[in-house]
Amino acid sequence: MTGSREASMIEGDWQARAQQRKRRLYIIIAILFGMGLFSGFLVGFFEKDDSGLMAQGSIPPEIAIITTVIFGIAITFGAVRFHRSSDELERRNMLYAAAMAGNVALAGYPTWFILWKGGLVSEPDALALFGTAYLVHITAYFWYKFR
Amino acid sequence: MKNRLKVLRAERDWSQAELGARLDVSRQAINAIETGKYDPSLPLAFRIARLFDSRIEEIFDDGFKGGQHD
Repeated sequence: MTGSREASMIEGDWQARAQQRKRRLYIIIAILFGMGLFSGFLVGFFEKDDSGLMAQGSIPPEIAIITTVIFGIAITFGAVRFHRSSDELERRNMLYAAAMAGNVALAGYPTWFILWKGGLVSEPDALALFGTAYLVHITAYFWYKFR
Repeated sequence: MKNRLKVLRAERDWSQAELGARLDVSRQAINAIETGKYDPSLPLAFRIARLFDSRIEEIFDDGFKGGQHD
């Protein structure tokens, strides 16, 4: 006979707790998604029509500051809330994925830099490195989650 | 690490989701532990042991047999 509080939990309790856990995560994801969407909208709406993606000064400085602040808040508080709401397996998956992405960025830049110094490739591209690290992060996360 | 979690859960007729909720982890975490893809932290291992009124080594087997590992 088990005597712990968890063991004596009645049917409705565990279902309510599972629902609560899911709801918490969905709310955090929805808020982060909303903030990302709003940031993207701000940049897209105020960007000069004739400028390219990488053009400097293509959005007003105040929009750049507002977007950066939104991004900073979303990343900081979103990460903390997500960390508190997720279980240890989820945190492990995120940690492994972040470590792999970080290693790609840390090893990728010097490798590219040396090859560039040797005249073999074009100059290191920050956006390409960021995109690759991000892709590795997502791929690793889903691989650990669904393997 | 091998464990008896699936057997203990089946004895109580609990689903993975139910056991997860009782331990405050996700169903996926229970599945990963049962299939040996994830070894729980020490605090979670203690919670599991308490829930099943057992000692940790009665549930988890690290392969240690009298001085030698498997």
